[in-house]
Amino acid sequence: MNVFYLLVLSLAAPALASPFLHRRLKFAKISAILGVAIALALHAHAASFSFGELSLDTFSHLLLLVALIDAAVALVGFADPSSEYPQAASLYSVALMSVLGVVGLAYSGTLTMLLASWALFSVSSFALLALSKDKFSAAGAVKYGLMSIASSSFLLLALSATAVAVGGLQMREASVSGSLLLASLGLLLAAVGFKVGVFPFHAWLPDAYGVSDPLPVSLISALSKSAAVLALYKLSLVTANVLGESWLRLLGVAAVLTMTYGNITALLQKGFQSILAYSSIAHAGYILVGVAALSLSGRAKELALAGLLLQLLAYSFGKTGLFLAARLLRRSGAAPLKIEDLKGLGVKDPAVAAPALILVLSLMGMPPLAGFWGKLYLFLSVVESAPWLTALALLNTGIGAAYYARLVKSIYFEPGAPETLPYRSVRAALLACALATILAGLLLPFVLQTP
Amino acid sequence: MEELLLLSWLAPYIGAGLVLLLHRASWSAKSSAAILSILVSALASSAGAARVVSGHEVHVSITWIESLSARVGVLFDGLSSLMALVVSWLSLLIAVYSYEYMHGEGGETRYWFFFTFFVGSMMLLVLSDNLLTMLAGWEGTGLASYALIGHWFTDEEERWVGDPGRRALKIPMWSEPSHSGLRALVFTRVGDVGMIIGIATLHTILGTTLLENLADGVWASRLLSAGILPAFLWLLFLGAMAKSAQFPFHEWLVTAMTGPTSVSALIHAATMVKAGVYFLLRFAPFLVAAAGISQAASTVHGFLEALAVVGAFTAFMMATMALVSRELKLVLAFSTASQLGYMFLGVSAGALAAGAIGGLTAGFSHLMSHAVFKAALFLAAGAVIHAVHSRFIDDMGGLAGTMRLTAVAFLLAGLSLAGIPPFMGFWTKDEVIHYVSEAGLIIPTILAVVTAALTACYTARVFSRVFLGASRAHGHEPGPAMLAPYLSLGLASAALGVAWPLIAPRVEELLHHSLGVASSKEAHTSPALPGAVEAALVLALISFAATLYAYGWVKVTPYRWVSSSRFLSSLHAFLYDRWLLNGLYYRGIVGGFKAFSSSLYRYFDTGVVDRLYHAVIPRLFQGAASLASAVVEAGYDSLLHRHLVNGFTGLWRLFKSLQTGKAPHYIALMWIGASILLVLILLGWLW
Repeated sequence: MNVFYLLVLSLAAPALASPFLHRRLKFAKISAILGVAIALALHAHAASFSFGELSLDTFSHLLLLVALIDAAVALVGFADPSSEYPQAASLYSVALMSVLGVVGLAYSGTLTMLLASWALFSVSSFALLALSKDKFSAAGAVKYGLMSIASSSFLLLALSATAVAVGGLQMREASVSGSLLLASLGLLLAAVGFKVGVFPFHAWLPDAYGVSDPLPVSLISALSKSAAVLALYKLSLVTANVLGESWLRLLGVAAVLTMTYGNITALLQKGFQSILAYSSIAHAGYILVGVAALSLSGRAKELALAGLLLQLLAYSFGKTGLFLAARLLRRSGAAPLKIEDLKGLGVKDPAVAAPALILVLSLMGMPPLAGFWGKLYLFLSVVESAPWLTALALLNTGIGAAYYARLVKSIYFEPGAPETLPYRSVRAALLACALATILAGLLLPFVLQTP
Repeated sequence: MEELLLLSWLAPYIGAGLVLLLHRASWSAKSSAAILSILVSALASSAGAARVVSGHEVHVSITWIESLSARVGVLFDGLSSLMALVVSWLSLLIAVYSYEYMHGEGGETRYWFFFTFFVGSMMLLVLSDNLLTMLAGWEGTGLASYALIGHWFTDEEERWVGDPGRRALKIPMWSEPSHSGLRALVFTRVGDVGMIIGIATLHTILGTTLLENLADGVWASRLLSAGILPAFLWLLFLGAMAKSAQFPFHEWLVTAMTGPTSVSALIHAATMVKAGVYFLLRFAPFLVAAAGISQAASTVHGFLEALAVVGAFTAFMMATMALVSRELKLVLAFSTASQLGYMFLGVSAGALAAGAIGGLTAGFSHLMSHAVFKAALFLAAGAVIHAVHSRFIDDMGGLAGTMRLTAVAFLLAGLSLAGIPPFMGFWTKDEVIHYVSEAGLIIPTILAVVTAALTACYTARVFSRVFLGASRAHGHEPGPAMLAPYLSLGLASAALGVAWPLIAPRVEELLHHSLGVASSKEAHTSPALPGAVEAALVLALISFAATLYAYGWVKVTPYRWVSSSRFLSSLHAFLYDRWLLNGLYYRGIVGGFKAFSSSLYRYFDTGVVDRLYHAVIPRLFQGAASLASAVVEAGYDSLLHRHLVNGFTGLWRLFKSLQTGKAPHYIALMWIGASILLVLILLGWLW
């Protein structure tokens, strides 16, 4: 339990100190990376526990581990380009706050703790987006913020309905089922789902991810997914078993709608970032498949947990890396990239193109990369209880391959000479993402081998 | 330590590998590697034989494939150790001869590789304790034989066999090395197929290929109850007949003479062609044991009698061909096939007359004596042909003056071949004829006696034509590496002949220690046919002396009489053209298959198959395709290329229209979505 306080301290101290270090930006950078690194080290040794407001189990532990590693990589990537931002020190401060929000979600043991952490993460994430201070980011950040406020009412409603149903703020398993509990799940889906782009609460996401400065997006897109999965997972402990079939059906339908919407809309997009944005929506759909399977038991649930972890890992590194790659091609304040801007990257700058290719293939679900195993476990988890869901998810994966292939084609098979910016830290982070994707794909399936 | 005896067949194989590695090295290096490896083999087999003489049989065996009871190892018993001695020491002598004889002839690596490979395979065949590795060695010798017969594969005329331009039944009677190699392979392969079927049958029915499991004769009753014993026996021994050039497979051995003479001496006289006889010898005790089982007795006896007839007929037929041949090596080749016939006759008649040990002694003794004297004859012939630069005896004559030692060696070995006492060949042939007459086989006895006379005649003829009379060519003695092997072999054949009455009981005693001899029972005894042995001896002596006198002193030229008489000239042509069998084979079998194949091509392939593939099926598919495109394709096309695409773009437009870029719309959408969701939940539709 003391670990949690140390964890908060390691993240909050640099976050609070950073705004005063804007004249010594190097200290801000180093202290931010150091803070996340220390948090990572502390968290890695934390054991499962449950006490008071706090609770941590194995799944939350592993999920947070992935989120922290990804955040560390993203913050390393921030190092070079951040100097160009007017309030660079605040950038690190807000980024650390958002990480702290995710930490709080992972450790939350009561509904209030959950709500507070969620609010912290939400506010800091759209603040982070706004700090780029160009017109594209401003529009995205404003829409994100408005939606966030609107959705927070849903979250309050959902949590209070849950509290009523359970009879307290503790997150313990509900005993009676009822339409109130299901309504709370519906509201929760709207409130949490909007963050990752669950249809029809997604509308802000393409405008924010698709046009804003890609640097903050590289961190937010990954952390949002972890935050949403953590929140849904925590609440699944309360209601999933009671709701059973209803949980599976409601979330399954949402999953299909979301992935279909994301994939089909991505197909004909012209912008590189907007393809990534819609692919984020599609991935929210895949992840919802795993969340839907949390109401199952036995082997199916084990598969779902393993799948969620792997898919989150693949998605986090994939999106962090690819948005960073977008930042390498887009000057700050410039208009969003088009797919044509990627042409010839394979020849011009293979050190950027090769890791980007690996990440695109991982998102596509190519074996043996991490993305393949994630999808495999997720889709396998529901194959017995909801075969229709597996079938539709597979169909969607096929559609998705088309636009990922367009990216590969532009990068490697079309002539052109794109300019890349000389950010060494971004290149290093991109490479780290690709290596992590390969290693995880090769090693984790053996570690996670469920009996 | 006994494992070292594996070297008896392993060493030559290792030598073959070394020769390949040394392919860029000098002739001496390659030759020494090969000769040394064969020396190791000879020493190992001598060590093995010494143990058998001292009363231990040696059986080393390492399991290779359990289910096929295939074991790798060596089995030294009476028969195999004697055979291994003959093979390995003769191989060594002929390898030494090759060192001089093949020097500068080209294809050095190929020659030594296949030479050593042959020795290894032959020793494996001889020393195997199971039929499977025996078959492996058997096929190895066949491969080496093929390669060495065709050693001069560029087919220059001086390497041919037969008279260029001569035809019988419109079929060429000459043969090039490459063609001869192929012939040898095809002829022996026909027999091998039968042999493989036989071995497979044994394994299927008995579940074993181990020789020791066959010793008790139970196999015969199992096969008899399956109703396949007669067919099995003929199939199993078909390989032996083909390998040992028995009628009707004898043709390949004649044209095998296109190989280097050293090869002819080793493979096509002294060792490989004996493999068939050896196989028969190995089985002789098993056959005798099988004959002891009452139901199988008549089948086995009938089979042995038939083999005796085949052997006797081959001996006679080949001897008649040898009488008229004009080529030195061909005379010897005919004589080899003829003597192999004697061996077949000896094994089968001996087994019939005196049981297993009778067959073994009669067959093996003649095998051994023939190996010695025929190797000497071939090696000497090689020296003569080398000196004269011609293979025809018409170009030779009077060489005794210039090639004195060669003539002595040839004469000593030739007297043995002719069966003149006290040379070795006399004793062993005498024993064969003795057993045939004792077995009461009338026609084989008569053929054997007549053949003895013919053998003496052609031996005397070839000796006088080459070494006596007027000198037609200038000869010279070869170097010591060539001379020493055949001179020592010639002397050995004389010395062994003198000592034979002392050696024979020792050999017989050793053969008593062979696999299966103890368990086999005595065969039936038939009334003896008296006088055959004496008649053979008298006839041989008279015909040898008369021929020597006629050619050597009177200098008769029988060609004149032959060409003046119609009957004699057609008889001569019949014999000279090898009883027209070559022509019959080519016209009947080769031509028959050709005609069959071309009519198959004309009527079945073009008529049926081609039409099916190029007319019927294409038209069928064309029809189906046009039908499908008319009925299905159009609809499918528009589904795939219009409706599906339109559907996707429509959906895309719909989704895109949600993305107005205005925040109030987004919030409205969110509220509407959440409201619909809640309504659905409260109505219970998602319950």
